Amino acid sequence: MLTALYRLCWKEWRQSWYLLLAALLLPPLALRLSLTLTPDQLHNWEPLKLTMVLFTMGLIARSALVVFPAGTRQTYAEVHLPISPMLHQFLLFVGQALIATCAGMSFGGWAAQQTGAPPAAEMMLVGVVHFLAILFVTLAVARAVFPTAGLVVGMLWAFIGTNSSFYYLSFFAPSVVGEGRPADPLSGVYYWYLPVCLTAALLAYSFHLGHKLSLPRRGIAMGGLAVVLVGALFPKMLLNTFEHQNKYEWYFQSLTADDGSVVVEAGGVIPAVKPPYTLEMTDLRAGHSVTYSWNEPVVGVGMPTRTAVILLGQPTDAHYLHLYRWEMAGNVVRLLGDIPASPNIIRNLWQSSCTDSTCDHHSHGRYTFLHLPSLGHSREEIFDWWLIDSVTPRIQLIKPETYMSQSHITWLPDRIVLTGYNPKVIHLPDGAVSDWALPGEKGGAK
Amino acid sequence: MSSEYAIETRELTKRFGRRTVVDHLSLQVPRGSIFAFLGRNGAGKTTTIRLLLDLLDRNSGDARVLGLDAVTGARDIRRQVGYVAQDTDLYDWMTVEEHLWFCRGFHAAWDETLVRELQRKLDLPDKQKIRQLSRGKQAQLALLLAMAYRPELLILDEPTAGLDVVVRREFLEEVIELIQQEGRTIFFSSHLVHEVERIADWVGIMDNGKLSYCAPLEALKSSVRRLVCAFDGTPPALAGIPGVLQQEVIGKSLIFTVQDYSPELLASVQQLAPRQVEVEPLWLEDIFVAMVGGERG
Repeated sequence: MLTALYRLCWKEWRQSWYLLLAALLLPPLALRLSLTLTPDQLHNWEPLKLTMVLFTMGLIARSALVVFPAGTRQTYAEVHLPISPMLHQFLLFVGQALIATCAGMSFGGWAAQQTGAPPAAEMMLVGVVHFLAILFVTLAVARAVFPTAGLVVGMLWAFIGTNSSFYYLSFFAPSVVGEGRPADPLSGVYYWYLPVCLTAALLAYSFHLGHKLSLPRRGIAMGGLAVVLVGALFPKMLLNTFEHQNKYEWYFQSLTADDGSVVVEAGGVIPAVKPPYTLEMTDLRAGHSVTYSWNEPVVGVGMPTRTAVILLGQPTDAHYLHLYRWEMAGNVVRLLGDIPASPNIIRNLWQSSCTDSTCDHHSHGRYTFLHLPSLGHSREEIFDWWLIDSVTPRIQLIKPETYMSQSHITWLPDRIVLTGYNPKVIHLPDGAVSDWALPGEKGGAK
Repeated sequence: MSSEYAIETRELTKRFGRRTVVDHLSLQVPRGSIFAFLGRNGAGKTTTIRLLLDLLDRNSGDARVLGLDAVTGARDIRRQVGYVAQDTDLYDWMTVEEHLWFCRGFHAAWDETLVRELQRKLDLPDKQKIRQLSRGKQAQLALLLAMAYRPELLILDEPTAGLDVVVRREFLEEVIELIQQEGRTIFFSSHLVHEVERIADWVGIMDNGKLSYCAPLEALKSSVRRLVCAFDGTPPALAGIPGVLQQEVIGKSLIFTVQDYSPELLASVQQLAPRQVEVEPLWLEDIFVAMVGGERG
């Protein structure tokens, strides 16, 4: 048994040693390229594309020459030797899987080094999954349809894997990551794709070994398998996209106190798609920091005092926003109240990075003026005005569905003056809103 | 099924789509025989062999090789059966020496002395890559590999197809010599009938997926005769003569081939009042042509 195994390994090595060596050369090559070319540059590197095209044409020609004139579609070992067909296929598979793993790790590692956004280990795993998936499908299906083409198919998948890698690497390109978009919208598919591909491959192998049918029938069966595979993949991709809509990656726009001495920023894993959503408040002057974790994504509204933060949070699909006040002293978070809101409106707040302009604070830190996208309007420029009293505490809708045309906010001891087009005055004790007029004018400010 | 037969099939059927390639084949190959499996191209010979070696799935029926089921006992069958395929499927990137070394690891019964002897006799150089060997030499190497572990059964599927006459003859001589040395069963598929006649002692003839004849070669040759009947006028139609395989009229002569020739059959022919009747024995090739290529009586 061991002798047979050794000789089969020897045969596989002799047949594909150059591929294995090429795979082993990939990591240093990837490292070298990563020092000189970004994924974007490589993706658009014309000599590489030309090489790929020539390589493909050569492989197709060789495949045609090898496969079609062959009178038999089974190798000598499969036909003549008293070994389990599975053993032979397994060895073939393992050899190719080694190459796939090397290639996948190289590309993943390279991409990680280029972007630095997702963890390198995760990127390498995605790369390995990607290559193994291609291996499983192309090798197994092709073996079932064209069994003599093992080696050629092995080269083909290497080509397909390499080429498609440039596509998936484009998701990691700095230009994309820099915009704050999710690093890889399909990454979830890869993790799911591997078991599906493995199943498909095993089915194909079983089919190949157990049903020695004519080529047309094998083709039809493999076509059916491909339909099942794609059919299963498509809804998953939709589901994945849908899931991404509900599980946006959370970013936190850092807040800084007026004097710059206290900073509030995201802690823990960033970007996060699930709880906990952790923030860290650091007093740079005192060299002291506190952290607090929420079970819902939060956005910073502002810092009414040097060591206090007002935050908005919203549980998934909730029709309200939680309003929190987080004090550094004692690391206390207080729920001030709820604000009716459209479900998942919180995403708009953190993605648009507009929180700085949605609120303003009383210099004593008691009152906060907040204007949020109106619940009753889809137009972005229509806001609801809210007045928040942190002491009472009280949250009051003072003017719904208002066109926010005021460009400057002035805080007075008992009112807020909004100047610009159609100036307004907000009376702090009761939240009344009136038109602002110059002193002496009817209804003018006193 | 008993194991007194090296190969035994019962109602073995294989279809490719709507085309039935092997049609309810019931075949028995006695142990120790040299069985010539004849048929025209596309008659179903290779498909039958591939079914016996579990290289194809059957649609129905049973097949046993050396008493083992062709599917469940496939691995054991390969230990005891040497097979030379129609197209040599050797690893052409290996040298002769490497291929021998590679195969040796899979057979406990590998006979290195026999291999060396055959290699010397066949003049197969150790260091030569297989792709550099001529087709004849490749066929001889395939035969050597099939013989190296002294299999109980040797299956040769048109091993001389595509070889020139000289090489074919050399190859067959090697087979004959080996057969004389060993008492093993040989199952020999070919459509080159005149060559098979020199070595076979049993004959099975496939025609359109069916076994049309299966018997010892001598029995076949002694039972099939060509009768040349000369008449004074136009030859009459053949009526009431059983087993006519082929017939033709040339001038005033009626020439026909019959199966199961006997004195009673000759008496029936005499009733047609021919002026003269000549009874001729036939070569296997003529019998084969009459059976699978001629008009049926």
